[in-house]
Amino acid sequence: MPLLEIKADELAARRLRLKRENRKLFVRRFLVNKAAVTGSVLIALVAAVSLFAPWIASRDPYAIDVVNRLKAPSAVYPFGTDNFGRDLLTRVVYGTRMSAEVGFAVALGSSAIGLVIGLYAGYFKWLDQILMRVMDGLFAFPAVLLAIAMMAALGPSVGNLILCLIIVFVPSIARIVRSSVLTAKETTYIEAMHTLGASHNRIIWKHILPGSLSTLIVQGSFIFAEAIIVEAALSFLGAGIPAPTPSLGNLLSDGKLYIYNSSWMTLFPGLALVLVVLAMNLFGDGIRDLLDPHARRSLTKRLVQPLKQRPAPFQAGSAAADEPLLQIRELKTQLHTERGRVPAVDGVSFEVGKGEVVGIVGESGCGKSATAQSVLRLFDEKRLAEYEGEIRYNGIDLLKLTPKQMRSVRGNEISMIFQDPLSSLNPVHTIGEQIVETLRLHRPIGKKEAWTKAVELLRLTGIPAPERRAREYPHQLSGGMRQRVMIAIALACEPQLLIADEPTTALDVTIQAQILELILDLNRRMGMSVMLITHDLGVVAEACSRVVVMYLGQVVESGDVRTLFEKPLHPYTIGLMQSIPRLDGDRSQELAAVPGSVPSLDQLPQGCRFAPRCTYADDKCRTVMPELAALPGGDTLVRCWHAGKLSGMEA
Amino acid sequence: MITTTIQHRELAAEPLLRVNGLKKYYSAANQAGFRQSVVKAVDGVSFDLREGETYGLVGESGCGKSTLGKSLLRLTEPTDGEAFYQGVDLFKQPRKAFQTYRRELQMVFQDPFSSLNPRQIIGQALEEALAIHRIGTPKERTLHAMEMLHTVGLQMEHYYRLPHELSGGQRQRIGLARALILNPRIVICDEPVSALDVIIQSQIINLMRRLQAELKLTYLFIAHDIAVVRHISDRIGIMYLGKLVEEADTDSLFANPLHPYTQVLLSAVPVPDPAARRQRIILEGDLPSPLDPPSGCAFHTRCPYAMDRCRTETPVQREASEGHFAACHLI
Repeated sequence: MPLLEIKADELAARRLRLKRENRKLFVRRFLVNKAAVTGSVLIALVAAVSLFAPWIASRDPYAIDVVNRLKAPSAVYPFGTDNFGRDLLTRVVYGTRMSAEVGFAVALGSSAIGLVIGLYAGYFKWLDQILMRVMDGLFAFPAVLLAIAMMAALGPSVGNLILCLIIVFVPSIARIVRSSVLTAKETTYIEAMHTLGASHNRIIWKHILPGSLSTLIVQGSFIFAEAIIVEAALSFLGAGIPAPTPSLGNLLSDGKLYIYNSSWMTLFPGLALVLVVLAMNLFGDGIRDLLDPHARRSLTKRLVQPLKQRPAPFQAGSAAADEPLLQIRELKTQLHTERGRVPAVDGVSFEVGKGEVVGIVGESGCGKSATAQSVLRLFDEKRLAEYEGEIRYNGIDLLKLTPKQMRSVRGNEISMIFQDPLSSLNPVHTIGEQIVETLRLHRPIGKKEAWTKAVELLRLTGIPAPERRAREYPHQLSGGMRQRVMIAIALACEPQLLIADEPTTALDVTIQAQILELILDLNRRMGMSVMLITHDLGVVAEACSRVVVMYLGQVVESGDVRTLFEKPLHPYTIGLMQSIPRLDGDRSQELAAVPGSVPSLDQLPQGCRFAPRCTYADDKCRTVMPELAALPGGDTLVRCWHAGKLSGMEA
Repeated sequence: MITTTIQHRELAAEPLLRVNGLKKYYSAANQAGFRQSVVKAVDGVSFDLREGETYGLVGESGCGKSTLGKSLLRLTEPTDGEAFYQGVDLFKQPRKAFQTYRRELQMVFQDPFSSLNPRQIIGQALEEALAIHRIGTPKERTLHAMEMLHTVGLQMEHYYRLPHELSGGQRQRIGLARALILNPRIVICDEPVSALDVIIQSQIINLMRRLQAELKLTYLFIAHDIAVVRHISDRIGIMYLGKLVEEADTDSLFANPLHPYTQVLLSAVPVPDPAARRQRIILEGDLPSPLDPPSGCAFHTRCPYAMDRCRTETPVQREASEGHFAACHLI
């Protein structure tokens, strides 16, 4: 036990160090965020002015000096004086302080109340009905109008103003918090807390609240700014803070009668108002970006929503008849990530022949999808990725094409379908429209003709009643139907190569069988080559003629399906095969599982990449990377120092 | 292996959990927003969970298998039915009293990425379960959590990690640890390995079997992958549109699948052997909408053997051989 405790202390210390590092990282990210930095500096300025008001402006903000009334700015009165001869600098400083106080109190008050209302309304359905109807009622009035009405009833005073503004702003906070609670409530980890028997309050305050805090901070800072503006508007109309007290609204109100002769009376309070509001808004924007960096645009969307202009026609090269359709040689794809550049694809070479179905297998994180996306050059080449090597399609190197030429290859020569058909389909267009769009993008045909073709394509993919289905939206279809639609879109321009990235993984097993059968049928009937990416060796065995096994961005074994399944050579391939529970396997035995998991790409092991998980690894494996090579007398290519020995052993 | 089978036989008379006629109906408004219709997600399911066994529940998405699991833990309140655990009907317990049973019935979720609070370190996530039930001092809880990490094959250093710093397999181990830290007797596993890669999947299955033997657990294993279910389960129930269509010992089910749907499921599994091209029954069409289930036998719209009788008359479950039940007119 003491040993355990010592270890625990040591771990706690390490955690503390990590926390400190994370904080440093956050500071660095904050410093590059211009809006947040500028906003914070301005807020600090406003805060300093408010806190040190008596020292900055030593004069009395109420002292009337009729002799010096309406004096223009000078050395004695930097901002000039007002109609009662009061020093404007002093009044602006105190006015800023008053406005900031009101803004702060309102932001804090409405956030706190709105948070509680939002949390409980979002969590308890019955409470939601009552609370949110009240909030909706408040929300129905324009903020300023509501505030004026309430102030008229209560009478002008600072306290009343703050109270009114809090009431005005509570609904917007409550709504935002409520909607974030509604999403959080549905997550599995909240459900998991229920199974542990956690109380409602524990779940609300400990597990749901932290997720809402970031939006709350952002919204709070915006309300700060808005409260100041509404205060100014109310005071300007005389319904806000009573007259002699300096607030930015009162100062503007005072100045309005003298705006033509003594513009400084309006100018300086106006500038102060702009400054405070700008500070809060910049801060809010900056923090929002910092806490919630918007997600990168998904790759699938770009494929389905291509640019409107028709791309330049792709001149197919004059490849010799016996040459493979697709030849990938030493392909390297470097991706820029937060942890530096990582080789997602690292020297991959393989071929896809005409009319051939080639399977690419491996665990997630092994570079299967990255290879496929590299073939279509789907990565953002300006910021995200760099390619090296050669991807010869019909004798032409795709990596040398211009982006415009590349567009005419995508969807036209080479098509791709994805694992999740719903996110790849546009929800606001009917599926017929989406097929027509793809068709007309690549082919100069009329709308009517394209529609007929679209219906035909849907029929080809086995969709019943295609005329009717073409007029339906993606959400009206089942998962299997959607994948058929994706295939129909992919086939629209009769591509020579179809890249299918886990096309059946998200589907039920009976539907999976249908879709796989469809892809193979199209392959046979249209002579279309297929690059089938999957983690399911069963799918590979049933569908493919050749197979490429990938591990950590490299090909570790490739060859004819029968040979490879009969006699896998690489320990990783063997591990993959043995780990699958078989319908005819011995249930009393444990499954043979390769230990460990795929390391991340920024922590590549030395030597053979599989060595840390391999039972056969020796010193050589751990230091020198083996090459992909054929064993004497075999066609299968394998990347392993012990392949020769292993193949002898198995035999 | 032998001892457990004997145990089964002895305890078979008194199952650990007896589920009787479980129903969960949802009301769903139609597209116009009025005229509510009823979705029968689970429609009268009965089965026993015997101590120490793994009961596999198989079916396609939307067949109600997950809803069934959640109803047992009352994560969603069942519409009707009984679930007897130690002579007590869990569904009739008031909320407060049910809390005490929560310790005995735990759950492992499918998605290891969303079933952990992203802002909570692993150690806290484990300790929280103990804190909720007021077990031990904070220090004891920490030690217990660390032991639990060791039990599920992780190191102590994972205690201070955040969920996103772990791989899918490691997260699923945490999911197991969190379920097991309260020392439950029944663990309901809702697709615990379907989000994982094959190798990691086999690691977790091996771990689950080991833990079952060590901690004398009873599993309700809900999954769609019939090969995985076959490997881990002692008995299997097949669900289709909210109903149990077949139930049998694993070996008996695979040797002699009686219901046409079971036969289809078995034949649809791709076999990782290119030499063995089998005759596969490929089903026509999709799963019917549970909003508007077919009359008679729910499977008749897709069944290759459907007769007139199937369209009108709902088949009842019959015992074809000892412990092998099926609901089909052909039997």
